[in-house]
Amino acid sequence: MENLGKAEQFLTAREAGLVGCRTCGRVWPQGIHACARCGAGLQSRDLKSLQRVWAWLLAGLILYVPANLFPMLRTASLLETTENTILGGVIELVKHGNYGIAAIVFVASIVIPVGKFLAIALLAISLRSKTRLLEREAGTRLLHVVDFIGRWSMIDVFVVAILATLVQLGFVVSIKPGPAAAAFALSVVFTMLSAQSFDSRMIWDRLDEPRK
Amino acid sequence: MTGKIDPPRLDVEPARQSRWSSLSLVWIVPLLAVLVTVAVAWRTYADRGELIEIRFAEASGIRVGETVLKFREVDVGRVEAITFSRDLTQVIVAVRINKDVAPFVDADSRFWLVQPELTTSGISRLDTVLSGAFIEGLWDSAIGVPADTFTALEAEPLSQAPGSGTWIKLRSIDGGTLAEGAPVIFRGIKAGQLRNVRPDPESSGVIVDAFIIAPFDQRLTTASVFWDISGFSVSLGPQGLKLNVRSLASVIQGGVEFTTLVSGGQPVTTGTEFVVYEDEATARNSLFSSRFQEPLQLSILLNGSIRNLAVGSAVQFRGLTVGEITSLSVRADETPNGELVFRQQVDLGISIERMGLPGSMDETDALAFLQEQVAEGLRARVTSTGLLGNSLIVELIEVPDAVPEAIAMDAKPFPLLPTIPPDITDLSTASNQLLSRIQDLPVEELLRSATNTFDAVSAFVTKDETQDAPGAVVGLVDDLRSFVGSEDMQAVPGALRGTLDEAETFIAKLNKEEAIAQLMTAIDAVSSTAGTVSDAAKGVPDLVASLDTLAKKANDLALQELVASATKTADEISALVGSEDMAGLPGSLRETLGQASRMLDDLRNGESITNLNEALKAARSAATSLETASQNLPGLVERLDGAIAKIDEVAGSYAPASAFGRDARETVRELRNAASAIGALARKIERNPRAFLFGN
Repeated sequence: MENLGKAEQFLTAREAGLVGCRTCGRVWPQGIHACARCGAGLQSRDLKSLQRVWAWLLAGLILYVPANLFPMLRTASLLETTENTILGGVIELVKHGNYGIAAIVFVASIVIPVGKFLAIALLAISLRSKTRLLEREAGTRLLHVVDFIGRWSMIDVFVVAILATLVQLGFVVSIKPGPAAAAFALSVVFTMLSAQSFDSRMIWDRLDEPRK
Repeated sequence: MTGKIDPPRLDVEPARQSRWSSLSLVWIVPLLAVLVTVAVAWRTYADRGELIEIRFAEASGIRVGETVLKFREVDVGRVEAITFSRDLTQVIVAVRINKDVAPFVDADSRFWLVQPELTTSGISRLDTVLSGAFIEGLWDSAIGVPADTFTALEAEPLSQAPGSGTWIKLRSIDGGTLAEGAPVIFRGIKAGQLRNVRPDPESSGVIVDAFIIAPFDQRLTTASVFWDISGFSVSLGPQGLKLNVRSLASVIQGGVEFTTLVSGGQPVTTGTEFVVYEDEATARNSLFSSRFQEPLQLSILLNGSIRNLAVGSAVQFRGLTVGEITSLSVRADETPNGELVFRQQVDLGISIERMGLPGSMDETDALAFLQEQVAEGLRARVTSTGLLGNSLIVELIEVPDAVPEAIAMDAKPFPLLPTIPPDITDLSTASNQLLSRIQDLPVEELLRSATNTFDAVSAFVTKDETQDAPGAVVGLVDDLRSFVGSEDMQAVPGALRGTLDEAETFIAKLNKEEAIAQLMTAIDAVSSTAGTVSDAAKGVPDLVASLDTLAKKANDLALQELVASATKTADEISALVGSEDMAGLPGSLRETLGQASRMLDDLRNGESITNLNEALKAARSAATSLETASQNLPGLVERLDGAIAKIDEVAGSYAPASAFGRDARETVRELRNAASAIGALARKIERNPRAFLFGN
């Protein structure tokens, strides 16, 4: 309780002339370039991380477009061959009355990736913006959430993979993944990489700066 | 110690980094992503192909996004949209064609819908039941005028490529057997197909388009004939009963067949017309199917009325059909007397070629040739032909020693051929003759007399006496047998004979000598005879009784045994009757009775009348007992009565031995006839007892 209002007075490692390894956590004095314990590079502040964040984000965003436009699943049955995009699949599921699965697919394939794009963009912008966009722990928390939840977007890809593996009954019915599956998987991977390459220490630096 | 010098602070400035060095390599990734995405998008768009419109009457089985367009069974396009035409009469199907094929889809392309089909020629395209109907397209490899709106065909086109066949037209009187899709056969091979059956605007028949596939269209000339092979036909002709059926498939699905009979026809072009005949025989005999030769027209006049001549009947020359009757009419001509005489005019159309003349002969030459033939005796005659002889044809025959005649070239409407009387021997006239001959038979009289005979016989047989006769005769026969077989009877003839011999000698003596003593001996003889007869007659009731029982037994006996016994009895009777004893018996009896009556007359006034009375009384009683006995033997009584009557006659007129003997012989003959009748009866019974008993 006594620390309320004194957030800005924490001692950061940078101020103490130390640098912590981001991989294994061992603290080293500044000036050492490689962690002796895990071999990872030691950087006090990774200035290029923002570029990486934006690059991966853009790549994920670009690939998200064909992931939605191309069909995710190709179902070849006795009478017909149907193709479904992600949104189309959701609508089909709703039409068939599978609201639960439709909700899961919708959330996993549309809400979460779009949310991730927005969140990472927000975080990246907030590091450079003049005004303070994010409150104290909100940024860190957001980053954690994004990092954690990102992997769950792969649910849709798993669904496609399992369906394609199981439903292979020759010409009676067979399911094949469409080109959107690959694009979507890549998009999710890129956003995960984007969230991962975010240097959260830079958020704290912003927090340390006096309010303007 | 002091003196440590702090080195001066150095100005440390970070090295100036170029702009690019701060750019990390990671930007390659989004760059690549962009490039790949754009490339894919561009390629998808560029590969889309062209959109064409195909108009259908109805879009049965066509679904947006699913129905494909196939060319040679390869998917080359897909339906993107289905809309209606402006006037709602057609469905416009928008098909996107693959880019590589799109340039070849020009104005000559044809499209049609492929669906499962069930026709008389079979089931086809069942695979479209599962995969759905698809649109098939046909185009060639030459890039022609580009077009993007097409109208679909109703069915798969027959001529897939130019030069693959020829389209011809067939005419038929009755289109019921020409079915859509039926095959055209040439020597058993399917050479084409019929399409588009429609009524003929010019006549009452139908027209159908036939596509003849190459190379069969080379066998087709303008001299070919077509006939209908659907179903089957049964024909009864001079060769007998014939069943014509081409194949089981043709029975069901029909079709036409063609062949080329004569050479000299021109090659066939598109739209050439042919006539479809009813069957092969009609087609082969149709001489005028080749339009390049006109028949030679002649006519003949027939006296009298001849039925059964029909238009189309054959004209034969030396047994070969060379033409046909083209029309029949009646013509009235005026004779020089002013009367009108009606004659039948038959117009003939004769093929010059079929007569064996060179085809290059024209009409005048042919007529001149015929004129020569007529001068040598060629005449026309109506004859009958056929299995029953009721179909008539006109025959051109050469008559030896014919009255000289000539073709009347100037006659109207056609030159007139001379004729000879018809030779119609048909079954009807022959049968008429036979029937009249049968009619002349006196069948009714025969029947009447037969009926009368049968009536008499049946009346005779149904009479009660006749019904009883067999039984009675059997009984009689048996009685007679036993009667005759009894020892007394056997003894009687001998005794009677002895007695009668004595009576005879007595008569002789009586004629020669005094009568009394001999009369006494005669009376004694008569009395002894009477006594014998009475003794015999005494035994007769017993005999009769035994005969009765025997008769009863006979009734109980089976028929065969009866017949056998009757036969035996008859034989015995005949033997007996034929025996001298029996033969002699009536004569002896007669003699005896005659003697008795003479004796009566002679002795009317005599003293020995009382003795005679006694003797006669005894004789009378014996006779009465015999009569009562023989009342059980009606036949024998009758016969004996007859014999006694005869004897009375003889006694009434006692005549020399010759007359007496004659009567006696007559009696014997009667008895013999009776015996033979009984024998015949017995034989008949033996042969056919059932017929005898029950009539026929």
